[in-house]
Amino acid sequence: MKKLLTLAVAALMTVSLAGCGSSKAENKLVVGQDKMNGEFIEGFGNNSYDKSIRDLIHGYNPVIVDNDGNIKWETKVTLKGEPAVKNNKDGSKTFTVTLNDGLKWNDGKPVTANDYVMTYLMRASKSWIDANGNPTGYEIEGYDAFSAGKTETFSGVKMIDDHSFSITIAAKNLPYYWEKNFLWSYPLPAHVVAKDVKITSDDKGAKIAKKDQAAIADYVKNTFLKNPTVTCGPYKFEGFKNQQVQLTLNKEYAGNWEGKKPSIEKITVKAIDMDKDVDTLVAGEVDIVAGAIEAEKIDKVKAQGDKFTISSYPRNGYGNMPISCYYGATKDVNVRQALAYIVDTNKIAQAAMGAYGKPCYSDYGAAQKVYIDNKEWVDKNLNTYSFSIANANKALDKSDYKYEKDGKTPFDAKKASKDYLRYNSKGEVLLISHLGSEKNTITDNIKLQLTKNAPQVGIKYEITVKDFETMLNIYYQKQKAEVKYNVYNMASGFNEVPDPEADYHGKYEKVANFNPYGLNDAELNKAIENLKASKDEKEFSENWKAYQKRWNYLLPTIPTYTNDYYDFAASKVKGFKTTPFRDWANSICNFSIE
Amino acid sequence: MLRYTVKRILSLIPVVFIISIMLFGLTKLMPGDPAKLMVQGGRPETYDARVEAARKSLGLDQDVVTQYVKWMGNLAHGDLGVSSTYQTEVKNVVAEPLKNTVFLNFFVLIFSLGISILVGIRSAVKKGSFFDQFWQVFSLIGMSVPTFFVGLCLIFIFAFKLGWLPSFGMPEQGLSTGAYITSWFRHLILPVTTLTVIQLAGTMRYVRNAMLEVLSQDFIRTARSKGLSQKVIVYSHAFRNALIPVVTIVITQIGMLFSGSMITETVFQWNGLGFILLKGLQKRDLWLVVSMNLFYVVIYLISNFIADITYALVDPRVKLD
Amino acid sequence: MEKKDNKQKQSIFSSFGRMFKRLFSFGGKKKELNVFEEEEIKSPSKVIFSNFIHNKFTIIGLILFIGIFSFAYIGGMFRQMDPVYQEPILQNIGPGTGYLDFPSELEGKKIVQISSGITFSVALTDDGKVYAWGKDTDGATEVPSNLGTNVVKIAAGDRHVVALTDSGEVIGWGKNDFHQAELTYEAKAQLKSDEKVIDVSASDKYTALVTDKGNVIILGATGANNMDYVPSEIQGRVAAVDANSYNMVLLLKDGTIATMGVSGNEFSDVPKELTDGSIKIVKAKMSYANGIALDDQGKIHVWGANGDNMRDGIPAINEKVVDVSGSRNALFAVGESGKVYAWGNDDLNDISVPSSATNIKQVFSGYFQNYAVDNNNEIHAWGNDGYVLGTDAQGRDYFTRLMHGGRVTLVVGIIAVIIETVLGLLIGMISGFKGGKVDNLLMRFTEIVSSVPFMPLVITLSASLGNDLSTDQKMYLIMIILGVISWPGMARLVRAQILIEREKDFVLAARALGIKEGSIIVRHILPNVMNICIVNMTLSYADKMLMEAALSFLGFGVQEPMPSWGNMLNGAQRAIVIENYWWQWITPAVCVVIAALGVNLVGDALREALDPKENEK
Repeated sequence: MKKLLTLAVAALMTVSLAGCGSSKAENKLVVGQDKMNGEFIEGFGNNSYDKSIRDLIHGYNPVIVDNDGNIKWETKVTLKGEPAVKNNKDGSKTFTVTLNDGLKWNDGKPVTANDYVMTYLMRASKSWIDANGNPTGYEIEGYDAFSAGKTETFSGVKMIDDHSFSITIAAKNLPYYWEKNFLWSYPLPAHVVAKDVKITSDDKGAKIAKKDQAAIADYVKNTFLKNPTVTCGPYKFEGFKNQQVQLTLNKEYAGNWEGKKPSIEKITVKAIDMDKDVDTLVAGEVDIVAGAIEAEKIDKVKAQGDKFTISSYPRNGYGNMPISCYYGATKDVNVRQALAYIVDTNKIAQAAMGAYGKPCYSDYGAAQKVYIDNKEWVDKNLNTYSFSIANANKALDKSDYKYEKDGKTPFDAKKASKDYLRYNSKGEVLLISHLGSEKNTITDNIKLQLTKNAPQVGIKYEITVKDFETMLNIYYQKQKAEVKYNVYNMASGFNEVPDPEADYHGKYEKVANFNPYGLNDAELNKAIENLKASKDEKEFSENWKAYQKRWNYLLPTIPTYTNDYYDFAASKVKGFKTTPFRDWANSICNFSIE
Repeated sequence: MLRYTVKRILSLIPVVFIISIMLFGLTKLMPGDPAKLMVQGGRPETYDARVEAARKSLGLDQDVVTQYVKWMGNLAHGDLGVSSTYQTEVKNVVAEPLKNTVFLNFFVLIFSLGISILVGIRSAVKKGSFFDQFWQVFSLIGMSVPTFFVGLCLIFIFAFKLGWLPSFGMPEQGLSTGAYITSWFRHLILPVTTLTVIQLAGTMRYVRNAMLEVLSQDFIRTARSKGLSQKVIVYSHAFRNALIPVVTIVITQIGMLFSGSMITETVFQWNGLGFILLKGLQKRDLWLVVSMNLFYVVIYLISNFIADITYALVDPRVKLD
Repeated sequence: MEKKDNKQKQSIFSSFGRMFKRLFSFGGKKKELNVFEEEEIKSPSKVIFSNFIHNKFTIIGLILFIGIFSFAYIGGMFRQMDPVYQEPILQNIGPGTGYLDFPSELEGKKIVQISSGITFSVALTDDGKVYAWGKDTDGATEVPSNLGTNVVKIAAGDRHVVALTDSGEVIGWGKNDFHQAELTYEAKAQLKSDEKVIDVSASDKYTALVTDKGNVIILGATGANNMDYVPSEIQGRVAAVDANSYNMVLLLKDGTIATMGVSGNEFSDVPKELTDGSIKIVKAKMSYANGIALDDQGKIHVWGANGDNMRDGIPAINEKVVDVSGSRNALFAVGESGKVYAWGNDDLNDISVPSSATNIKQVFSGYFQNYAVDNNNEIHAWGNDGYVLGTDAQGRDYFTRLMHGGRVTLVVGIIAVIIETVLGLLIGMISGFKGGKVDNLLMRFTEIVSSVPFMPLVITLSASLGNDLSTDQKMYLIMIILGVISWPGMARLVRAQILIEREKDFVLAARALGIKEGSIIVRHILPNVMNICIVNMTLSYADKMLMEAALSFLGFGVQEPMPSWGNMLNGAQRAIVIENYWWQWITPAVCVVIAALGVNLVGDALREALDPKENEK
């Protein structure tokens, strides 16, 4: 017995020591992040950790986002000058893109216009949707006919020669403030995914046979999606196994939007337990951990001194409590405002992230340039909805819920309690149902707070907790049978195109998955349309203010807090700097290992 | 014997059949539409077409009965359906985790069995000694401690405080062979220890009791009176007989091990079956969940069946009919 | 072998081993019995009972279980729990009490000022010395040794302290993560060359300084509280300041009131008469959401929110007020007569002023600790004295939650076991007695239920059935699920036992004697079946508690804010909790282990007592 034990201990020591001894001199980076689904092609899934792999392996995108979040043409490496823009008579707009010479796939084959055109056709085809892909190209002329399979020709996409192609945006989608983004695309290698496919192009547009569309979609979904070895980004995909992605330097890569090339030879991206991410970093198991928000985690890394580099930046989004504007009492804007008044957002932020939390009053991200430029205006002109029982009562007195049980006697706010609630003129109690997700500190906080605060203004507040997926389903689907919730709690983020249309425009009032608030307000609709059609930054800024003002009044969502993100890297990673628009994967060319 | 085997196998068929219906129904009861969960983002105008496509690819566009029949039919061909989370066939999803779980449990079985036989025999022979009582107390405590607590304590001590071993996760890829094997073992030590401690508690008591039972029997007394040495009596006479119940319990345990390591896999982020199943449940991954549950059931039934047969084979007193 | 070694070495280990052995030895020492005692006939139940009760395991098990049971039930009766209580500032505070135990050196000394942080307090005496007591967080109670005796003002923030000397020097200690406890270069730059700091107040991660030129300077975190914005119209007019988490009340030189911080809340809505100069204010203090001002006539003015009856609950004060003060959730006024008036929230004994506090001249209150100083310079303290087992992530008392969590875990286990036993007994008995086709069918059914792996099934069930349920209903669901899917084991045992008993000689004999089948079942078979049942129930109870813990740990069990030992362990998934907040995972785990171990010991002892073979000598 003792021998066995001794043996076991000895074995343990050897093994653990052997592990410590592995050479660290290698030019290699280990990144820890949450679990990936393994879908490494744009258009599949929505896992943001797959996305960082996509950003590492794909490249030569005609459009980039600069450090301030502006959308720009990538004229340094990918494009030969800015695309030629032609305003057509019918109101559509044609962008002619010319690629630079010498761009190569990581297998040495040249990147041609054919690759881009193939990618456009593939992602707009019916077969792509059938393969569960997320289609793109909706804004391009001729999309409807092509994607419905009525024709094999995509009239808005034309190949001009080996190095240039043109995209025509349909008139109905113009003008658009972020129009450059219509050309955002990571090309796929036609010589791999569409080996024997011939794409022809004439004045009518690019053409691809239906059976070829199906063959490409099938190949991409079943083979290329999980194992995209031929790409043109800074890194080459080597394999995905046991939640670890192996990447090696792509020697053929010509450089990113600043002309920089990566220097780290090997990258391993592995899934780690996000509850223990910082500890994994401190223990030296990974070199980079991104996106920490909890005070404890930040403090822990700070306490390590210069062993780690910290990069922090304002979060481009905010935590919030979306409200159903189409159901029950919260149809009334006054009720929504009253709810905002009884949420002590300071306490929620304090509980969730200590002193790192910051207030947020409307639909903006702290990193957005337009917000930074207009910060003072926001502070002065928007209602902060600071915690106030009195204001909540005032707002409710403006609604129909100002009576006692009989629907006649005016409600006396002073008597408000669990047993003395507000009723409307029909004698219905003011009931707010909240749906939160499990294992969520914010839900826990809201639960605690509103159970206490709501009765003080005569609101009956009920909170149900479901798992996150179920909550999302109900929230987005606006499922008729299951709609019995007024309030949810979530967090939302902005990408480089902060177009609020899909979220708040009245035309999606009844469309599942979009405008989950069921909001349809003429003034807001107009404000959104103006915002989209802004011609320049100045006009955009003005339209943005009008939009925020209306949004802040309508309050489809109660913004609860915003905060800073903290990215950490071991100090051996030099040049570690991330921004709201360029995460570690997008900044990889700036990093090196000492 | 043959008749019994055939009868048992035949009786298993309706059992599997009923369970499959039960599992299918249960999984269907879970709220949330997997097809809709698959479709997120993109243009509002393309949403409906995408949901339709997703539903079709998951085979959810047909009525429930057809779905079930198709699923069962496909199962016969080894086709477990498509996972909505991973957008690929379930068998591709579970291949790697299955290997990992088997690997993990293989070591657990070796260690827990080895130690419990050694300790169990000694405890029984020296009943009431300090050794016996120490392990009795150990096993009682082992039976009273939540698995995840053992795991957490080990992580705390060996990974965070001492820094000897990785706290969780899978071995690193892309290393040289030697380093890779080392990495495997380093990542295995803590989860294997956790599961072994828990398994040990039960198995050890079982071995001890089986030994005690045998030691109290007449033929041992006879052997003693013949003047055979203690060693011969214990290891040759007694243990051989105690082995019968031990073997059966071990086989039954193998059936349970697959599903039993779920919590440990979660604590250590071990990319095993339990871990995948838990994620599948959260993501409403219909075919993944139902196929894996059925897999557990089949493994359990088979191991039970083998245990019965083994029992009959090694113990002539047991008659099967 | 082992024994010999121990004896030879005579080490500490061997003596410990003997103690251990004595503690756990089975059945105690066997006494020599005389022949009459030997031959005495005891009824089987008596034998069982005596075996049971003389087993040391039993005693230990019973003690453990009764201990933990009374901890949860009797303890829970004394300590009421408000599951939705929340005080984020008190989150994750380590175990410790004595927040109010001021040092004895302070007695008889003239107190200039007492200021409290969340868990500690500091006092300044008239000889310029600073004393600190309470639970230390981040070095806040470690008064720097180089601190001279020229301190004139002190201020405690949540976890930091700032002292002001007569030369206007600012010295800080304690938590300094946002530079709230130091006069940074940037802050110094705001001071003009001849400007001197004259007042200081501190709160959540920030410190406010007032200069002799009437300017306000803020040190520390301003992200959440908007303190970086000092209105230009009050700059240069400030006389004194009182800081709270998100707002500050400023007493201006002209005797009016101004506020700073988060705007738009009820606090920032100061009554007009306090701002337009019609009333001259001499002192202004605040609580979390209320302000209290004392005017030169000795009258108080309260404004802000009305939560906890802060405004409606002001006691009738029929005398001149000489001092006012505000803690986090309560307000205080001191009358001419030396009486302390207190109103507000009493969750942490905030307004439980001790009756001994008479002839008071001044009240000092910080976050949750309050001190009244009487005319004899004696200090009377009340408020939060600390937490035996610290607090959780919401600032709730962990000890109380542990007790109430125990109730849930213990009850969930019991109900589940009862369901299991009833089902198991019923199905097992029908199967055992009926036999034949019924038996066959039921056993197949048993096989089906038992072949579905336990954990995945429970989780699937909990996810599919538990979605529309409230917290309470979900708890019942867990009980039912645990019970309903674990009966096969019990059913098999019962059936097997019945089959064994039926074939036993005494049953055959009874049958031969013509005793009725029903009577045989009740008199001879059932008692033995019940024995098995009881043992199994006990062991299964321990199992159920572990199961509940595991389920809640994975997030499928009892839901927050209702505590259970399982979901209290939930936080242990986070490394931060494992590393820094040991009480949040070790204590519930230890409770589960003690309860399960106690039950297992009793169950084990029961089994041995019921097993006739164990009676062999």
